Amino acid sequence: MDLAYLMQGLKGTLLIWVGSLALAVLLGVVVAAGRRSHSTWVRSIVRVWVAIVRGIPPLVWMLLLFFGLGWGLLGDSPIFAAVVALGLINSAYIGDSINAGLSAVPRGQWEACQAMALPKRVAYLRVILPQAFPIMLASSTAYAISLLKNTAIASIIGANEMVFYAYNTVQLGADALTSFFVIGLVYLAFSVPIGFLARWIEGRSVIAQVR
Amino acid sequence: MKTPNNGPSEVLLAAQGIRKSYGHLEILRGIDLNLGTGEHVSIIGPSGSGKSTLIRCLNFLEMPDGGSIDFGGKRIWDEKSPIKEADSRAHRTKVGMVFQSFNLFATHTALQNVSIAQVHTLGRSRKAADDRSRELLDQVGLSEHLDKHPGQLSGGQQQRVAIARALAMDPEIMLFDEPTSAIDPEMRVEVLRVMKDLANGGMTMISVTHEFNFARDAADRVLFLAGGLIVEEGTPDEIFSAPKQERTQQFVNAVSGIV
Ligand SMILES: Nc1ncnc2c1ncn2[C@@H]1O[C@H](COP(=O)(O)OP(=O)(O)O)[C@@H](O)[C@H]1O
Ligand SMILES: [Mg+2]
Repeated sequence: MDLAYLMQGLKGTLLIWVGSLALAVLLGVVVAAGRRSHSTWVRSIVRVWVAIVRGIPPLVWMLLLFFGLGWGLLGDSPIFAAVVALGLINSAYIGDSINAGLSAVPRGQWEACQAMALPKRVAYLRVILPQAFPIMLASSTAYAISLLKNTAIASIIGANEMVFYAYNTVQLGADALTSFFVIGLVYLAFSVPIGFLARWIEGRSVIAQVR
Repeated sequence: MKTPNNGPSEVLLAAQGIRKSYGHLEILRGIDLNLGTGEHVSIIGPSGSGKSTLIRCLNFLEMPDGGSIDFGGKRIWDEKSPIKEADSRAHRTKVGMVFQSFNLFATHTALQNVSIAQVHTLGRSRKAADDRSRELLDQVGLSEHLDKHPGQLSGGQQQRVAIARALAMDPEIMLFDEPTSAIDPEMRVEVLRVMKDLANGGMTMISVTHEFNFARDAADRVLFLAGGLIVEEGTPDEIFSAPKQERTQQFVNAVSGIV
């Protein structure tokens, strides 16, 4: 398989991955805030939203956005449609892992912050998040890896990512087994180190050590 | 006996008719609690009787449902006028709280635990805060452990850091919620000594405790709380040696191991 071709595909894959991950984290913060809201209304809206987002397969989301719901904005760019679709879906998962990380911080830590009248911002940034972050990161990383694998689905709407390129080279006569084997290795080259990193971070977490 | 306060003391804290329910469960059914400056009151009572709830109402970690709270002669809360966030924060800077489970900040060293609120709540410089923290940690016998994290300290040491952390705010009153209950018996003595020194040094304190010897030595008054009401109130001698209520007698005997 042509290496330049592979790099082109990799560029597309990384673009979809990083783009949708960034969108997912951004929206995930909103989802987590909604989950923790004092208002029952806000919590219900978020619950319905998460159910809808999770309940439809990623491919169907992509097709919906690419062909229908994009209002012309997304229809021109399969990569953009894939970013939005995967970003939306994963915002639900990332939002829940942010929420779970915050919930894992013992209540007493919040109460000590309150008892000492620490400003909320300080309490979050210096006390709560440093403890919640490793936990959030560990579970978010698992989603990030499955997100990486899901970028392959975007080939179906014609996004120029690795699978799309590999498939094309095979159509043009390249050896199928070699081509797909190579891109399989490229996926692994990203997902395995990230998995290790996640476990390392989790192992260093204060809460994990206490347990 | 505790060193008596010099001269007549004015009332620092006056809580009247404090009521609190969780759902249908009425935990506090009208508690009156007055505390003079420099006074130390110990609260005893069976577990689940609402001791924690009561002292948590005094710094608004729980909002009471009814009653009123005056502090320093000013009405700061009653059921008709809910307290504003800024006012409850201002109040909390004057009230030091020590929890049963220490609640030290897990990612901070002992020194950082004691300094953080000095810097971020009181606005002291980092240097001034750290100097004061060293002084306080020395006072509670932990000058060797400034840079250790809570996970590296024993329960007794953690609780002394927590006391230093609360004292660092220069509070007008200290609240202790069973400060030694989560500590191995042989490690309690250091914590109790620190508390006793504070009481004798004139700190205004409320301590929820099962340590009767400590209350006998260090408290001016003892309240027995049961069923959401103050059943009996008196000097340590009155409560521990000659209680008037049968219920108090039973509780004191049970905790002291007298059948
Ligand atoms: N946040 C809460 N929600 C519901 N019930 C609570 C809550 N906090 C305490 N309780 C209940 O209130 C009662 C008194 O609790 P607490 O004040 O902790 O008692 P004590 O400190 O005397 O052991 C207990 O029955 C407890 O289960
Ligand atoms: Mg309690």
